[in-house]
Amino acid sequence: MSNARKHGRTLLRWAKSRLAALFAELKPSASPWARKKRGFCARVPLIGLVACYALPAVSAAQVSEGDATPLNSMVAYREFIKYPPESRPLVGANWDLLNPWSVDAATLPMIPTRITAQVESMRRAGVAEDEAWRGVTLPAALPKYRFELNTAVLAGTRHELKATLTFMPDQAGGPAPQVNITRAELVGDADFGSPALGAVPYSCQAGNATCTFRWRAPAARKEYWGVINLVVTANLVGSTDELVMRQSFYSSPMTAGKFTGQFQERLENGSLVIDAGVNVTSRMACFVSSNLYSIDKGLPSQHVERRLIVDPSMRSIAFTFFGKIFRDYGHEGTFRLQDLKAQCENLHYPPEWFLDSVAHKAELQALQARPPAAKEPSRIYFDYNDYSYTTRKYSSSEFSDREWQSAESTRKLTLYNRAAGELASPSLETLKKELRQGREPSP
Amino acid sequence: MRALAIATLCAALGWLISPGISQAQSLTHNILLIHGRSDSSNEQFGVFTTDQHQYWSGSPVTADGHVYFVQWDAWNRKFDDTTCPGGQCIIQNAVNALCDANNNQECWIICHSAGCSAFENYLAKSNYCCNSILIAHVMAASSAAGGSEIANTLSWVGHTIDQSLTTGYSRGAYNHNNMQGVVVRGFGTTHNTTIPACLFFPGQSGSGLNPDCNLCGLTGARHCADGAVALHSTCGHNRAASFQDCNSTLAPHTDTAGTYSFHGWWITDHECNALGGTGCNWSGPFSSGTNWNASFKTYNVDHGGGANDALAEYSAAPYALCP
Repeated sequence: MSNARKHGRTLLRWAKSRLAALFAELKPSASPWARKKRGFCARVPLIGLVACYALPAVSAAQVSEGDATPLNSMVAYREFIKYPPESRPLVGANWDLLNPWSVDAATLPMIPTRITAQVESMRRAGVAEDEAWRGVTLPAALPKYRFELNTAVLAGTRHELKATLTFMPDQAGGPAPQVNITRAELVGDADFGSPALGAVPYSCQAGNATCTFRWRAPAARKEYWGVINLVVTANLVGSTDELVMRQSFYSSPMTAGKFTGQFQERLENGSLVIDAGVNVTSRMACFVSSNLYSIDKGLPSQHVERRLIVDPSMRSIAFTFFGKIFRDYGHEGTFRLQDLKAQCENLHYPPEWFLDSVAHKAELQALQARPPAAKEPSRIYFDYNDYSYTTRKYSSSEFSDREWQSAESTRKLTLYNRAAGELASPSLETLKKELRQGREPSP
Repeated sequence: MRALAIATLCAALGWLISPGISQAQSLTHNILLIHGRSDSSNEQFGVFTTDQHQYWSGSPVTADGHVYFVQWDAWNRKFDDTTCPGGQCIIQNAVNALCDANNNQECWIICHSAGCSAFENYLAKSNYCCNSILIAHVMAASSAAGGSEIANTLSWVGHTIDQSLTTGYSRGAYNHNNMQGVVVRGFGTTHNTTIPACLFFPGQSGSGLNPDCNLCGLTGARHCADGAVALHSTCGHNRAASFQDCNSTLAPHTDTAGTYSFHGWWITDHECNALGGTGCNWSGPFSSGTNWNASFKTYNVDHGGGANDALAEYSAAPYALCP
């Protein structure tokens, strides 16, 4: 809660040394060491290119503590590119990455539909949300409900949703509300006009305190695509008030492909590469991800997320688990690959434009004026799978401890450096101060 | 003379490896304001130099920057819609047009509510790491990137945007950790309007609770939300659960309570960490009246107040931070 205070002065000292180191690296003119580096640049131009490129920026002498934050954008980026963008360390705190198909359930009140209708009517009339709620009379007790889903995304027609609905009393320790379910049905995505998709089978446990709903898309048709709402209508025993409980999930009955469950592993430049077999049915821009666990340590190790175009000609997708991450986190031994997932973009333009939108900005800008007539959901997945793969045993020394390097990321670091340098302007600092104080700027 | 020759050689060689990026011209500082959920009936879509949509309370004070209002259909489209005027489409086009270092541009982003969902979605799916786009800061005011329990409950009676603002959709649309080295500094807002806060948002009882959060029921539970979104969203937490404060994964903080990578609060950095102190030039918040709660890293303002605080902070911050 008070990380900031705890770190206090240590932080300041650490930051100063860190920034000094950064400047030493990025500004060859800043120190005798740097002057040597400049000479090196002249002698070995191809290697010296990158370091020299920072020369026109500010010197260390011009930089005060006041420049720290712009530089911190660079520090953050530099931290990021220590490893390849697609290979990241995975730790226990990364709950979302460790549970790639899940989202936390919310506990919500069972509000009679006559009241929500009143609120909605006021909202439509322009009354603010909170004011609308103040304008209605709520029952003295509002029991609660909670939907627990086995998945937040249904990928393919064989992937089944299991939604467990639990009813809870208004106050902890009170008796569970007695609920009669009268209907359970599905409503499709707003992009398709929220079509009715039919009833959902369910079963309730003793006392009706918990009910389970199961559904899978009956066909790979568009009406089952996008945000689907499970709508459960009920009433409390002894009350005529109708209650409606809703839970949405995302459905992708059409898929762009599937993983085959076949794997091959290899070492490449000191990194572990696992090729996962695929059958691709559509050419699309996708985010393909997986998690690697250290079996020996019983810990998550790496998350890989590739941004690429998948194509029917592909037979496998390579996941590269970066050598230095294994070294930095002390992971060795056998590993388990799991949580394979592919999320693809439903685009109305070539996937190449999406992957490099800067290069295609003119084409994309032109499309802005003529969007497609029909709206569609934005995501299509590969079929859900629960494949896993266990690697052979690796010793730490088999992995490289080299940092990742690329010309593009070095160029961006240089840009950050240049940008920070340009913000060190006493005259503009004064001007902004005058402007914010509402004064006429000094001549 | 020799030094000059060497420098010239180096600069020339540097030019060869990044042919599109000119060093001759100073960077233009562009400030992009991305609005949240709002009725788009009379809205034009694209990028404007005036607030045609009349969403914001004003324009940030800037010494040499150019303010642009990025207007997308945050009513009839989802934030990740790749067709214009959906969020992904409009923001991608805006950033490519205004934040490209190849055109000597650098951007500051101020987003509010669903505007932050749309911006983060763009960033996470872009190849920012390795292209010429340059973003200095993201000020995420009352961010709805983690979704809202109100949308969970009422999206069925709302508009298309609301379907994408549920906690499930928001958190599943993109990898929230993948900010590609760009830091997102959140304004976590806690000023509640009693009924929505207690009804819909998660709460907890016990000790050490945030006094700015709404007190609900007889158990002493505190529900931290700003009337539209809870702190789990505005602070960039990776669980849709009850949180009383903002945490940070921006170095040197390594929050293990569950904050997405590259997310922290406005403003924290290595030097000052927002708390001031000896030799510290960054002692944000920089403006008065933000209702900053230093202990919990939150702002005791309502959902709209988050946007006002972000504008005030940009305006009051030093030039070197927010030009």
